[in-house]
Amino acid sequence: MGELDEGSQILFLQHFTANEAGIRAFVRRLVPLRSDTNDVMQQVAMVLWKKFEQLEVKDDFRKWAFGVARYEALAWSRDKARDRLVLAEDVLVALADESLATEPALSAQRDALDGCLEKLAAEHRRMILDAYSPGVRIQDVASRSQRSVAGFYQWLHRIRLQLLDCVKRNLAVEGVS
Amino acid sequence: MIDPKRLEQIAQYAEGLLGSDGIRDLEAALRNDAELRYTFLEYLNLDAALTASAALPESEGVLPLSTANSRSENAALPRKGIRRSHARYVAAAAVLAMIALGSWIFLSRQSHDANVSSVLVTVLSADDAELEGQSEPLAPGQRLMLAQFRLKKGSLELQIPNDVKLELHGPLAAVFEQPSRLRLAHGELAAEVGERGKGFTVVTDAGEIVDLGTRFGVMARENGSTEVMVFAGEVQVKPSSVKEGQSKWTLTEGDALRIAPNQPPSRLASVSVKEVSAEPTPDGPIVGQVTDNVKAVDFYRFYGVVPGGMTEGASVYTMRSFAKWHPLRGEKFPEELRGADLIQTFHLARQETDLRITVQLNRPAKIYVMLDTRVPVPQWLKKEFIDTGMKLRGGPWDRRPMTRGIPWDADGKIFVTYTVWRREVFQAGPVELGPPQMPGQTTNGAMYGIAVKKL
Repeated sequence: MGELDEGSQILFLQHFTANEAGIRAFVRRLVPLRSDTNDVMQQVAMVLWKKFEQLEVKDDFRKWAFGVARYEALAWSRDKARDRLVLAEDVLVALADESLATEPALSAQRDALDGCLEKLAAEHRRMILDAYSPGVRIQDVASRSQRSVAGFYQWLHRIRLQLLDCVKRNLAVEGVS
Repeated sequence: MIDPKRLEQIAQYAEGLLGSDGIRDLEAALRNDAELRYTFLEYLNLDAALTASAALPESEGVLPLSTANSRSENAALPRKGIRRSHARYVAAAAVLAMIALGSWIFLSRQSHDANVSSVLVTVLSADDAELEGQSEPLAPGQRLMLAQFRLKKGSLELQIPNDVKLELHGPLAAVFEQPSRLRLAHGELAAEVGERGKGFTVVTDAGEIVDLGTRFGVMARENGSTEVMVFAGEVQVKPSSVKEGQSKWTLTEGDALRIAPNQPPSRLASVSVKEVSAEPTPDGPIVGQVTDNVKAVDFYRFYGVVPGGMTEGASVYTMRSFAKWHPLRGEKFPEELRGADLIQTFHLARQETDLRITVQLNRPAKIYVMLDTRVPVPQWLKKEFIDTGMKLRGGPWDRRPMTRGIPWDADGKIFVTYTVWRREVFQAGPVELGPPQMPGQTTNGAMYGIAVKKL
């Protein structure tokens, strides 16, 4: 791993921290599982760190970082295609390109999520956040909600659609989307 | 309009539940349908946002507020003493290297009880501490063998095996049942448990407190009740009073719970926190207890009351230990605020519009409310308080939705700026503070802070 001087390290961290959520969401849109996102992000972060000195205009970090993430996510998918169920490369390329083009709108949707989570009944909010908690076993959350695992997945899907509808309606009212 | 069946297919894909045929079918549909591709991206994007929200500390989440009266007494427990002991610990380690094993002091009462275990501990610091059976003053670096012991007075910081540090406050009586299991008969302690010490357990008559990697405090009262508060990480509490149904409670940072042998567990709303940086308060604290109108199932957040604790570097909230009070960049901390009693609120309440916080004053006082400058000033604040013109910063924060729009400062850090409001109260008694935000005007701002100084 390349060594950055202290000033560059701080600058790197500023840029990376400011963009990490967007890059992570971008990667998630291209890989099958949430846990896959971490694998790809680890590789993305390492490449960005190693090559940061080579980035001449640091203000271009965001565009550059998304390019690296695109490359690494597609490379990861190619690598996994032999033994994992992943989408075909031409579909992933289309998704990656459209994902980059629509990132501002998708970013606004992510930011609007907090407000929509607040509108959920407290119990539903707790359950969905439990289901997404790191390291959670979905069987445990389903059991706490007194649903079968299959029933819980159905419920999760309904809540996600409800949240998606909410963020889009809110952004439409604000004239964002 | 996307076919609901396709949406279900996307959901199954997102959970890793879609088989080979399903993947190929979805793939073909995505290849030919731009609208479906965008819906797919939105769905996975929401999945990413939910993952991020679930990973956030609760202070960035939302408060399950319902309104009703809630009353709680204060508990006095140490908080920061253990954290601040690191520098002393380094010095103690140097001293330790020079101490021969022969200088161990055996203080345990002899016992053949299978539930008593002798444990080698190292004194990290001692403040007027007097252990029963030990006539010489205790000093950092001293090694003791403890089993059943009594701290008659003072405070004692100990390193025990498996990366566990204990801060004990006398009068206290306890016994090590095992090296990782301490029975507390009465008294107060705080524990800081490292990775190797996970599972360290404090037992009282009211139940068991099992560490899950954390800093926490326990006070066992003579009447049999026990108060537990978590300053970092998580603990699991198993009340002895609960025989059926929910048998254990998981408390996270900023939670406090009271358990008693014959009563159901209840929230402890107000905790007195000792800070090393606090100014002396010879006349006693101005703030009594702090309560609110939150009454929700599984809600255990507490307010931290730090007598004399308002100063640069003091924690703003009970959670978020890294968010500290600071003066504006290049300015001095306002003298008017220094040494005031600090009330640490919980950031989780930042967007509430129904919250009511009641501060019990022991004497006439000036109450200060520090409001995020980005938040519209609530009506109650405008009506009852005056804008002092003073400003403070709180932070540093990491980049997250709450801090969106705040630029990095010259040190690469993010701080929220607060306006300081003041109200003079001429008699002791309860004072009610309103919600941090007004209905219809909620913004993604920080929760307000509170300080109280004698009039």
